[in-house]
Amino acid sequence: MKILYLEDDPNDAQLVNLYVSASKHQLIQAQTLEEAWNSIEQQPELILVDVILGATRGGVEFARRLRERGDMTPLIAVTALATPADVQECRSAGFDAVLTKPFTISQLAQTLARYLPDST
Amino acid sequence: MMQSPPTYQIEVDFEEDRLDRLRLLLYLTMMLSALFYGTSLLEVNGGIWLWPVIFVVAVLLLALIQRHLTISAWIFTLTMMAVPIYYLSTGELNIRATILVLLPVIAASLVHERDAVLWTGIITLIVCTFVAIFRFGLTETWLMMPLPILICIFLIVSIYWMQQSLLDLVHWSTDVQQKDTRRAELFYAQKEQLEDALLQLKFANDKLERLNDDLDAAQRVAENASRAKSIFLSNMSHELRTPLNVIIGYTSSMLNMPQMFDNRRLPSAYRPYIQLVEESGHYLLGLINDVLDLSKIEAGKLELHCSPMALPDLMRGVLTTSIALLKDKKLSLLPDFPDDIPFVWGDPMRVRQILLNLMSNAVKFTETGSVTLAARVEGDHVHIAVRDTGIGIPESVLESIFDRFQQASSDTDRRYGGTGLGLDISRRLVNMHGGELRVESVVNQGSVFTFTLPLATEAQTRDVFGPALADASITIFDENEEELLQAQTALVVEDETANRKLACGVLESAGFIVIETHEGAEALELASGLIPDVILLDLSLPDIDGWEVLRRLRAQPETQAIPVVLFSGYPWDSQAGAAGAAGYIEKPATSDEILQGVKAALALNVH
Repeated sequence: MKILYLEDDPNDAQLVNLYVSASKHQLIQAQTLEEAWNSIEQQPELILVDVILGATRGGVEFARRLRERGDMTPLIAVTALATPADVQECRSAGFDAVLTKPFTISQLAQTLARYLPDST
Repeated sequence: MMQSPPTYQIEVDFEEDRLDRLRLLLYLTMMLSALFYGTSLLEVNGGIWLWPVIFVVAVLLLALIQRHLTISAWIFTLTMMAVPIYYLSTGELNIRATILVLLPVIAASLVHERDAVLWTGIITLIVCTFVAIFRFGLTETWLMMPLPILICIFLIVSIYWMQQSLLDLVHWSTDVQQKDTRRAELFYAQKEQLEDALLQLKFANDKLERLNDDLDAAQRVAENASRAKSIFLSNMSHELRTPLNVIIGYTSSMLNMPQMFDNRRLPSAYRPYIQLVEESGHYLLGLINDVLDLSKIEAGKLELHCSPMALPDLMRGVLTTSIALLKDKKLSLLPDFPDDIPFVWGDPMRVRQILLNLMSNAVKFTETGSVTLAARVEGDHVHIAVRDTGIGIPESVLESIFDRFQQASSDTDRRYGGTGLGLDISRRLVNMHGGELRVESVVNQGSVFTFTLPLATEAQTRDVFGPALADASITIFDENEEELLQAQTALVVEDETANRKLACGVLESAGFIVIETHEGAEALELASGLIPDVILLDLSLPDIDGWEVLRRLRAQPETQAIPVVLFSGYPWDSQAGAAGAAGYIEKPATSDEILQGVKAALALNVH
């Protein structure tokens, strides 16, 4: 199944890519908001979004607009923002969960597993 | 400032006794006067003029007293009537007689007795008329003589009436005026007071407004500072975590997920060093979290997620984790607590944090001997102690070690490293649990840190598995998560009662049908008989070793597809994957960690 990952940090993108590929899923990578919106057309079943893109909180904006469009695809924030206020902001933007960086590979596995229950 | 309005009082104070005495004196004078007057009437000479003067003085006195004037006036006027009658009878009616007639009337009028005046006038007139008729007959004299008296009396009466009404008018107007004046005074006094008060209010208001402005400004400054601090903390934490993710993410992958690297295992020569990198990463993360925790505690934003906890499990986990702290030190880490400690009420994550902080501290400052983690029940509390045989703390600095950035000396600072945040955070976390972190120490013999945690009450224990505990890294907003897993069966194999209870409670409250056992042999029977959807397996069982149970489960065709989640007091074991485990949960685990681990295993098993 397809997972979209919007992430501007190539190191983090590669880490998730390695894991997702190993678990026989397909990762669509996007580095910018524009690329992410284009990739939405491929209808991913799970979307991972880094909140801070460049100098802005583009990820929050992305989530908000996605939810405004009525797209209810599971949405996980993958971010190094960790204060309660930041987590709350993610929640109100429409994210289903927040995976806080740094995470161990098993935490990533647990989080993804939760949202990929029906894949074959 | 407000003043109470002035009260205007008119006090009436008659000195009744003195007045009575005066009155008596006056009556006596009057009687004597009347007597003298009567006798002197017989001799017509100049002496007669003295008496009316005395009467007038007496009447004036009387008027001053203003009491029983009617009677005194009557006595005087009737007495005085004798004079004009006498003159009339002698035919010597002249100015002198007329004046004498007027005297009683004037006297009476002076004392404001209009009835007396009127009646005196009328009676005098009638008596004079009769005397004149009797004496002179109906003659010219009769016609002429009473006429001036009559005119005089009418004049007097009218003057009196006019005077009286004038007086009344004056009194009335004076009264009104006085009242008005008083009212005006009162009004002005009140007005002034009000104006004063108004002024004061305005002043106070101005002051308050200024204060308010100052406060607003101060608040803005504080808010800005607070916001700036929050933004700084958020940014700083973000910037520190980003590189840490590369360190922790990749090292944990290399150590535990060979499938990510074309199934090539990390060469064993590299393994300890990669582990070191990962540990250091976690240590750094711990520091960052400490700083964040401290700022959260200071801002009053740190919340405890309390639940009943199995303290022995948690403490065993802490001891296990602390082994990694030893590095090359030859220290014994000793448990000193019974297994039957009832549930305590606290936030497992935070209690673990406190214990790890204290253990880490103890290990750091102890070179030889032991570090003991002890607990015992005392009443409705559990008394927890971390004892070491280390360098100890001089008494002079015993209290200041709880202050942040403080270690016993700057020398120890350099030798032992660390930020000194740990004890400050631990003390505050203990306080939040309603206890107090205390320390006793003897230099070169060791230190003991102690605190208490309350035992969970009946009600708290019943409500064990309410809200799921938050994982440090994973935050799930979905509140209807149990819908995903309806009526699935879980087999919990665990010999420690508290842990088994915890796991069963978590899974039951998440909608699982839970079967529990404490033996490996029974677990194998149940598994092949019931075919549960998932098995949670403790690795250290009393009869058959957990690894062996796992191997046999995998060997049997009917049970080989059941996902098995290992539940272990040891950190992730790399042979778990190879042995066919679908998941691994390290003890002590929060209820959320257990649930997440089981669900992840179930989810993985589907594809």
